[in-house]
Amino acid sequence: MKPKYLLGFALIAAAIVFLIVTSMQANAQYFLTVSQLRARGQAVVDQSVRISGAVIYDNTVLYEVRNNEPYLEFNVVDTEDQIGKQKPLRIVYKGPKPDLLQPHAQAIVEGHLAADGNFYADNLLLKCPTRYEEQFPNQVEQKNG
Amino acid sequence: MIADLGLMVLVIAALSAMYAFVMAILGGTQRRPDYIESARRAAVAVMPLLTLACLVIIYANLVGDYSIEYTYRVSNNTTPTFLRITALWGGQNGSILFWNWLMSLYIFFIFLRPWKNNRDLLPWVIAVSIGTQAFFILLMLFFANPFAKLFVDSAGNISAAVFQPAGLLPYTSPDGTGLNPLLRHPGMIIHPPMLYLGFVGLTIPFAFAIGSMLARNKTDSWIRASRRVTLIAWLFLSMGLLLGARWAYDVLGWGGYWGWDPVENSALLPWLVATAFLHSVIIQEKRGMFKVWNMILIVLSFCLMILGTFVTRTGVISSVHSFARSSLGVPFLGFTAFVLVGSAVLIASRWHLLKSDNKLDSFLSREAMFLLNNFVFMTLTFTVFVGTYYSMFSELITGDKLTVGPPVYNQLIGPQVAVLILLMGIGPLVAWHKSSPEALGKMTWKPAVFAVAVMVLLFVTGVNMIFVVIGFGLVAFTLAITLTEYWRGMRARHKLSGENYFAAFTHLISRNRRRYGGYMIHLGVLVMGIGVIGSLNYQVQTQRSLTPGGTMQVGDYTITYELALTCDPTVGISGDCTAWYTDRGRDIEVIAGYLSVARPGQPTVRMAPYREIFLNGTGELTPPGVLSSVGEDLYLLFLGEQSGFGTIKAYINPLIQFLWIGGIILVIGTLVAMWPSPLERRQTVAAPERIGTLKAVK
Repeated sequence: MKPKYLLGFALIAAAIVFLIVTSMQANAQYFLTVSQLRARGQAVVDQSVRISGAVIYDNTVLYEVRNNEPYLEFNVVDTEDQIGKQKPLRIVYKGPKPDLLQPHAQAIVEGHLAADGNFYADNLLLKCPTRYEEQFPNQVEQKNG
Repeated sequence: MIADLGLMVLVIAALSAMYAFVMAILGGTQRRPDYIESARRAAVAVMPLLTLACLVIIYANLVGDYSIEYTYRVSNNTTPTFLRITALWGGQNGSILFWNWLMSLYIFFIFLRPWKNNRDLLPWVIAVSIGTQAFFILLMLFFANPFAKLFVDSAGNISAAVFQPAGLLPYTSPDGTGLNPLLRHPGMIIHPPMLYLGFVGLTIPFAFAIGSMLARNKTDSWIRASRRVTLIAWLFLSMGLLLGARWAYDVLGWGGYWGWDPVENSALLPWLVATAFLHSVIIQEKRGMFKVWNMILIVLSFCLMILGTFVTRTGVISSVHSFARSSLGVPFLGFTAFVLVGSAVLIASRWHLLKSDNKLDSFLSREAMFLLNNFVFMTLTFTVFVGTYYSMFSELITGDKLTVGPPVYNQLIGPQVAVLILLMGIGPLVAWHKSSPEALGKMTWKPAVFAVAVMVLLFVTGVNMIFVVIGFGLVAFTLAITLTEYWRGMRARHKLSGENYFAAFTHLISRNRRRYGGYMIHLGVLVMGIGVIGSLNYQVQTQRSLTPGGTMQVGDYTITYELALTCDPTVGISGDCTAWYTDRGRDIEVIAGYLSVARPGQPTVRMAPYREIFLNGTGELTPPGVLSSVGEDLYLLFLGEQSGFGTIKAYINPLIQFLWIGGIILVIGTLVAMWPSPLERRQTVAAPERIGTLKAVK
């Protein structure tokens, strides 16, 4: 191939790469902790982000049916040891209460922080501290001990 | 005890593979046919050995031998028989064994009989393929051994090891933890084997390519020799992707089939590059061009396959598949780096052998169309690659954790696929060497008019999303061209030989399997395109919490919530619950929502989507109830019952059936294209382009 064609191709390729990368940069979602979310202040209000935090499982968890739709509210903080120290973030989710919403659970929430200070979730994923395929459960140890 | 047999067999398989590797290299460098023959036999011997190893795992699962760590993790006393068998690939270590076994199957069939042709390539093809196999067997032996056993110390702590550690006693658990509940659905039985067959199959064309360069072979016999197996691998990879999408749709219960999850992407990446390769080799076969480029593509597809295996098997990037995590990272990445660097050095040192026989004559030629096709496949690959690893890159570079979601992919990938569909239509009409705009215009104006008519019709009937109108227009354009190609060939045969149209059609395809099989794949992609555009842009969803007897409306459907049935196996299974536990483990709680669905002019249908809660605390699943018709799917989820309210989520997925129908057409087309035909060999040899190529070489 002639050099000028090669150059042409290289330029087009570079332009496309540039477009793809900048577009991803502009549209990628931040994955933040509660304190990182707060630190960004007004800049993240109404922006689609993902956050992770430790679930506070106490009487602040609210679950009911509102206008024929499931309605869930609960609080999260950065990590479990921050419970009681850090100001919690209230998550509002119009969906059923996941079974894994339990003490020690970690929540990964996709949604946006609204001006009222609550975080409105579009998607809610909960993880339990013990992962599958990682540890041998205690019951086996007890049976044997 | 049985674990020791498995372990022994694995060690012998590793030794056999390593022996074959060394002898193949010695045979190749010293030109010793007896060494090569010995290497071939040792390579073939790996398959029966690994088969035995797989059977040991299956046996252990079937009898519930919980002294083996793997069986303990993927099976338990209530696991149904068929799941105990499929549990062979239900956990990380077993799936790597299964992966190895599939690779040994390819190697077995490729080298089973002594080669008559391409004997100069043989030692090197053996060396590369069995070398890869040896690496993965060793990886399994040292880092993910499926035959590790359970041991217990004096304090009662359980651990797992391949050999008995000092001071610990062998331990047999009374029960296992059971297979990851996500993997207990029929889709999981067939999807992983297909995907793996596709993955490992890419090793063979890679071995041929590298073998050809190592043997300093100037011809492109490696492409012809490995063409069929490349297509087989591509077919399995395509089926694996389609079945994975279908599994997600039928089981995961989020209303969609493709989430741009890192693991899905990791399987898509080698497919994209392999697809580019399948197109690009045609130019090398016909015109002797793009030789270096084809080498790069095959190396890239192999590396992406290794990377994909790594990502799928280790959950290095968080995803729905990250049930498997381990420390396989360093050997995997090391191997990939070695392949990349080694191949690059090899291509550079063989550059003179890979010179193009011909030059690109015109930018309006078949060659240029293929070039453009490859270009778009590469930008697609780049897009998916960057998106998949974006979180890793961004964290490394800026420290921020960022993720790329489906909307970003859709927005970036849509236009690229549009270009591909346009090329899919125009490409086959453009002549080799050089074509004229007039000739192209003559062949495309009617399809173009048809496409415009379709677009106007859509617009008039209220489709106002411009991208949707353009998308359907492009699909209509290329669909019209592709069908016309069949029609023209059929009519020509009918006129020439007097055959009736049906005979003309079947003969047309059987005499030109590659061409018309290829067009059929294109048709499949177009039909799938209709499904993707429809379901992506016109999905409707509603969610309601209802008391028994309450109704909700979605589209034309009226859904009545009848009652919820909760089955807790820890309390006991009886009555209506019995039907839910015919082949379900007793470690899952089921909450079924009985619904009746009414639609004007149709009989009422009763459906029971349900929610599964895994009692070991690993999660929950909401498999849908789906009511399918050609036009749309009603996709119902029962999200559970709380304080008397049952929560129902309903989706309407328009045109989604086209996705699956298109997938089936694609599979049939691939089978047509790769089916051996007696004429094929004669045709390739006698093609005028080949004679031209030979002259140019001289």
